[in-house]
Amino acid sequence: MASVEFMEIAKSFGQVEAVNDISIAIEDGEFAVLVGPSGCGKSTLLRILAGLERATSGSIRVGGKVVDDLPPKDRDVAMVFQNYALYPQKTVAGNMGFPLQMRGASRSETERKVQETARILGLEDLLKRYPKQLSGGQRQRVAMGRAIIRNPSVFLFDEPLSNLDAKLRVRMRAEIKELQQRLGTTTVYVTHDQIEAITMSDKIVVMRSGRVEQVGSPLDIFDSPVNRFVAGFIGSPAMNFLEGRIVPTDDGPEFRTGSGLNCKLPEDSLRHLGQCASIGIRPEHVDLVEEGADDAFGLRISVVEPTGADTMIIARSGDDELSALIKGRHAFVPGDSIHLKPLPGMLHFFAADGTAVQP
Amino acid sequence: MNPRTATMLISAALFVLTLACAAIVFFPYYWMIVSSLEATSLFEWPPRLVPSSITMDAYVRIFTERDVFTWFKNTAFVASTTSIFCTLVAINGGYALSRFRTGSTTAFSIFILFSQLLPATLIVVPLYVIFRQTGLYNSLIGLAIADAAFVLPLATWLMKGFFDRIPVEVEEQAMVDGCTRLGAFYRIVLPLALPGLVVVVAMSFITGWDEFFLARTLISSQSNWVFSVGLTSFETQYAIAWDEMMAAAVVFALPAVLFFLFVQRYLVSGLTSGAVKG
Repeated sequence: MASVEFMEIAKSFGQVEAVNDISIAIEDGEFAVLVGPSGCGKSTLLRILAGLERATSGSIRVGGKVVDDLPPKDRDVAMVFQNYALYPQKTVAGNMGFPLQMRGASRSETERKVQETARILGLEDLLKRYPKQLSGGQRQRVAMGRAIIRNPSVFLFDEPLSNLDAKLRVRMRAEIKELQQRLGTTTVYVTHDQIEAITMSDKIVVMRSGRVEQVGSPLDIFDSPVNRFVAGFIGSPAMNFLEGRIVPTDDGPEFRTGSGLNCKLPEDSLRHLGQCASIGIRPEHVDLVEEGADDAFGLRISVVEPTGADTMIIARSGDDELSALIKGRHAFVPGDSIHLKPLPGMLHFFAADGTAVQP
Repeated sequence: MNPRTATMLISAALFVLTLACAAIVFFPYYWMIVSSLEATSLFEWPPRLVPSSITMDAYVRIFTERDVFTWFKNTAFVASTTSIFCTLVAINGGYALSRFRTGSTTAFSIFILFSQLLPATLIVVPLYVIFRQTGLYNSLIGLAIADAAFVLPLATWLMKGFFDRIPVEVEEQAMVDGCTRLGAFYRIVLPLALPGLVVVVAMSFITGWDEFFLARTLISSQSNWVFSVGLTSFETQYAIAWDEMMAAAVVFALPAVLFFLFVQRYLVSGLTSGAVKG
């Protein structure tokens, strides 16, 4: 086990800048998730850590030791690729034993560890099979087995669940997390799925266009996003944004949108929020209220999505659109009018450049 | 006609057509064998498809009176050297063109494909001059190099195609698992490209085995004759020893046929892989 430190890492492919000035510290035993939209540089960063790419500038430390000049095999990291990258010509046992063979382990030791790892992952009956004879989930497990068998300092996962169906993905998510907790190995996990990021990680690194937008614990990032990008990216369903401005009135400050929605704000907030250009409201932080209630938005429903336990509503007023996750089942019909009120204290404020404004 | 009968008729027609095609393809070989076993049959009219008597005299004569063993030895040497040389260069070259892609490697790979378009007759004179100056003229190694040079562009492209189909992640995984790049190539990637490797080995071996034009031009002494050149020696100023020539041709073809039978399982998968989505 070891800590991982990225120090001012930059990487360009010709004229294209893939990552720029990335500095992240991942503690020993921590489960860190690099998350961001496609092309944000998260996989490049992971590949630099694995030694499969060389950084244009900057340095990486694993366990306090600079590894920039070490080839992948000497970095003591194990990697699981998105397509599993199993060796098609080797059996499951052959795949899992390969890293040990490469390190000069004896045949008996390799066999013993393969058996042991197969037991942990429930692969005992599949050891003689070839990758093409396995299902997606089984292949995924073999790839994990190959990673954990040699007890590396760091696990690297590059979108390992993307090729699985939704149900299996949820199960494997839990399995990977449980395994990581049991082994306590430092893990760097790349995904574009923010649910995976929130549910699995100790630390989330949100990236965009080759830069780090925010680093923090999942709940920190969920509760206090530093900008509109992070606020919109983390959380499902995604946060609503209403464009507008804060206007002082006799009853205190009020947020008004271009199409006439308005919402009262606490008295003391105006001082900090003069630069506010938009507010963010998470769909689950909206209450259904009666017509005429104070500070409620009057909207017209355009889409109703019952999820069983809750009802998802998308409603509009002029150019403003608000999605709301309302507890329970409701017999709404598109075209109905609805009154929604943001929960007090749950609003997020953003300046014109998208950075968060703290109330 | 009901559909079942129609299907059967179509199948039968296809079967007959296949037999006819096979007969056309195999008749020259049959005729070669028959002629080697019975000297008089070749120019008789009407031709006798089944020999009236069988004699192995021609075979005995070519092994006792001709230098068949030397030709055989030289041909085996040239074919094996061509095959080894061509395979070694093609797998490494194909890998490099597949994995290290830059503008110049792409231009180079197109360039070598163009060199495949040049006919041997165009190159043989400069090749002759170069070989004379470098001491490769009249040497079997020289002939093998010349033969390999003609197969290499296609062989390199073929291997490149096979390497292109192997996901780069498999190789990267091997590198993370403890291999060097070269180790990952030889331990993981190359075994996956085995069908392609067999095609290249077979293609270059056969080229080295039956090539005539370069062998005729670049080899001067009889002791260095390969089989294809040796076969022409049955035609003299006054007569052609057809039965001996045909017997020698059978002996000449036999190793190639056996070799193809041995590798045909890989050849079929190698030549057709990528034709359908796997």
